[in-house]
Amino acid sequence: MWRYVVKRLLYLIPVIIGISFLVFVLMDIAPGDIVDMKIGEDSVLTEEQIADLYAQYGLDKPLLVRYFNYMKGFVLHGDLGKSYTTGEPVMKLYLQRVPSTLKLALASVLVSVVISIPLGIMSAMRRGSLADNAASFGTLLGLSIPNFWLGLVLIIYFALKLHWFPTGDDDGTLKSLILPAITHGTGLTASLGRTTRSSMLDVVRQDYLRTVRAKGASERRVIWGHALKNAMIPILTVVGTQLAAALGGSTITETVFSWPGTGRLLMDSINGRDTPIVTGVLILKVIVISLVMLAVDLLYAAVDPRIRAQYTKSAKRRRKVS
Amino acid sequence: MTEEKKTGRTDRVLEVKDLTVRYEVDGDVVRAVNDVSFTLDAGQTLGLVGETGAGKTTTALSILKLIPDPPGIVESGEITVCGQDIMSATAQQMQKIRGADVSMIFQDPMTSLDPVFTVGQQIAESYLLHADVSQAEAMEKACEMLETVGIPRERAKEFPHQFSGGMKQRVVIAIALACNPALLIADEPTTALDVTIQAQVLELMKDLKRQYNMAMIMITHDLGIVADVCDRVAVMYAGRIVEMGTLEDVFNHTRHPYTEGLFNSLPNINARVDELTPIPGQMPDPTNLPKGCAFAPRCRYATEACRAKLPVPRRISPTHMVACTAYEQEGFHIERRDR
Amino acid sequence: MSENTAVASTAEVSAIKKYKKRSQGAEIWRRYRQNKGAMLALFVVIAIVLVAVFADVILDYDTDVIGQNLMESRQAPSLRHLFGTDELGRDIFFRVLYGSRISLAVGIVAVMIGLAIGMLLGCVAGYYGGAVENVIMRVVDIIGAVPSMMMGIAIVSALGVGTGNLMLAIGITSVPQFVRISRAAVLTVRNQEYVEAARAIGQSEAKIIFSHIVPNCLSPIIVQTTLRTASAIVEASSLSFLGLGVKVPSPEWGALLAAGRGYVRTAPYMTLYPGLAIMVTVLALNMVGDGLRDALDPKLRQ
Repeated sequence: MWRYVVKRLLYLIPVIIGISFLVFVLMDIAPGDIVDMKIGEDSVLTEEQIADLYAQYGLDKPLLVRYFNYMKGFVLHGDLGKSYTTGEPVMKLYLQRVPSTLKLALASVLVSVVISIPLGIMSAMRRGSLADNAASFGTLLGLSIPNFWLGLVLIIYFALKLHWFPTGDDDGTLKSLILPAITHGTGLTASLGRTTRSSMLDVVRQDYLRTVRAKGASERRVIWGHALKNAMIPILTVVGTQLAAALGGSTITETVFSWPGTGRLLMDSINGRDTPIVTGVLILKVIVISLVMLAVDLLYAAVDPRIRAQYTKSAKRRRKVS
Repeated sequence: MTEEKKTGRTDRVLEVKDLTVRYEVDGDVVRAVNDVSFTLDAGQTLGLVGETGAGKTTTALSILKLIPDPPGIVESGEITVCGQDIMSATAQQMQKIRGADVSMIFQDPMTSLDPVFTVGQQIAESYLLHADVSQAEAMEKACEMLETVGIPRERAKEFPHQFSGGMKQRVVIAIALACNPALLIADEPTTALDVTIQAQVLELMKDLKRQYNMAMIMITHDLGIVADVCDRVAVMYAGRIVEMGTLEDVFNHTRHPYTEGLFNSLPNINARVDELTPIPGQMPDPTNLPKGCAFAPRCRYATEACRAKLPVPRRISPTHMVACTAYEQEGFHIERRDR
Repeated sequence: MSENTAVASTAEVSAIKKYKKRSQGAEIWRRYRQNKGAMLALFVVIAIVLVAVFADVILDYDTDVIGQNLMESRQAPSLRHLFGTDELGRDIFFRVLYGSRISLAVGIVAVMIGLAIGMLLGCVAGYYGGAVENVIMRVVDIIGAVPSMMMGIAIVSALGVGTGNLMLAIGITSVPQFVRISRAAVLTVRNQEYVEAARAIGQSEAKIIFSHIVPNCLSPIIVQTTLRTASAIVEASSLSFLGLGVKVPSPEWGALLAAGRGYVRTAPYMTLYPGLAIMVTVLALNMVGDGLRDALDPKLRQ
């Protein structure tokens, strides 16, 4: 089992290197850099002065060298460079924003799980009924509503007209968390609800449930004790993916609600052409997402013994004596 | 629980009267089981024989009240298990009956076990559902049960995918027999297994039947298994029982043309022929059964009377019944003679 | 709830039902038609497509769409201006109508890009197997692991704002699903015995591939294309909302919302209607996609 974990962690390294390099290259290609900004439109500098500026920001070295130094700084010192605008360390800025993003991510996913799993189970059990059709339409609607629009609509009605909630910004209270959590959580609920339903539908027609019923188990036990456990894998995948993405920073929701999370940090720095922050945040985002997905993969092993067997590969215990 | 049940048990374990079940699928009505009646006493084994679609499984599921409600509907009939009325039983009552008074094992062992629980846990669940025991006690009994079906008890913590088909079926049997039911219904339990394993599993079932003094219904299309395991036989066709009697009655004093056809289609090692003789034609479409006897279109003895009305069950002897209109004519007999 | 919610297993039910024979296409259409919701959605989609195609003819770009008229700025919806006017006096209804061209175009082109690249990679991966397959699938996994918004943000911030880059960005994020579908189709066909039989009687590889693989993956590809177009439109408008999509003053729906955001207190209709347009379009496309999936599925699910 541990061998598998280590293997997966090692596998993560080339992925992170690959993506961070990709991000680095992309940001490099982006038009306009710090020197252009510093120069401004109407200053006239000599070639030498321009070259000095480049050297000052370390931009005169070739790409690969810069990348290598950058990653070295990151891995050894947690140094992701400094903001062009404020000069503050990128890592510090990122860590400042993490609590807000964390709150929003957990709240949204919680909302999603609490609503959609029972909803999905109900839909699967009463397939074709009015409740099921209503739920199906509801989830479809939830998937179709653009996040940012929903956020704005909620703000218009509940914050501006009714004054029930603030229009944004995390002030530490539960009230300020509600509208953003609902906004981000709606899409998650819709997606998870559908997955739960289809996963349960697959499981519910399996023969082994018949065996459980023939034992004299109540329908509740059949569904919640047996069917759900078997349906968990796809459900866990979706929850994990949603959590991973949300922890990486839900850019749109944070922008609409002026939520001080890592997603908004990203957007602000893109608009401000603050490349070090953009690069740093993107790379950290990828790392966070990859680690959460790895955790989800390991969670599968806890739920499904067949997968656990694959991970542990204990061929010794494969006795198939008739 | 189980001990009290055993002494308070009636001799008549099962009584089915005029059972009729239909399925409604996409606007069509499938007449799966029609006016089926039979009884079973403690220690008896009834073989329920017939081709696929004859209504055997549906009959069995009705006894456990496990017919899926859409699309299945139990139109009429009475079923009594150990003196308890099934038709009017509530869900709670059925849950007590299933597994404790009557158990069922199904055809395909590969899909009958829950993949995410150990076999020990699955057997123990039977105990936990019906007896007031602790987890540890239930697990202990589960291990004992495993040994009874011939599996080493250390394997209780293994998962179904680690067992072969034959062993899985043994586990299924262990689950079914855990609470010592009065009646075991086995729906083609060996069809999906190799012939050699088949023999082992059947032997196991016969032993356990004797050990627990259980009544058993063996659903099969294999007459060889019937001869080996059963002492009574009921032959089903298109949802009806066409012939029923002791093993001796049905095998050696066959009366119904369909039963005759079944025996004729068996290859006989002592009388090798160039061509086997199957029964011509096919079973009728269950959504569109003929007005009279369902077998008439394929029957070489069929008369106008056969096609006009449903055959009435008639007693040939205290143990032997046949439902064939042709016998209303004096002196009629099928070709297959008494042996 | 009935006492027995035991569900009939597939084996039990398929033994009961018989099929009436019809041509496959007619059968699929008949099943689709039974789904009233999907039919309604289909009409909506057709209507929107027609609007998008003919918007250029009905409206005059310079006067109707981008023509400013500060006298009329920020008027509430009325008979003259169905959705009101924005801060520069432009009629929002016209802008939304015209915006359909852009949103739809971006969605469709992006998905087509994903489809083309995806199917190519998928077929190559499935057909050649080995190291080629491994490399392709790893790359696809990595791309797929990145949330599409993030990918879009990264690509657009690197390459610059503009419709073309937007299409490219969303197209790339569409690739993984198409690769998986086509590769799966290739793998199932490759392993079938009738492929060996076809080879044995001398059919060319290309013919085998085309006559067997394409029908195999046609249904999931059609469904995925429809659904992906819907999500592409959402992603495109999201990126435009963030300022990373189309160039101003293009009336792409997301951009309209971004512009309206500043006036949320005084002129909420600036954000309401464009968003509504997105929602209706996406919902309709999703319902059509769902309807297609149900109609194309071998209807053994009772």
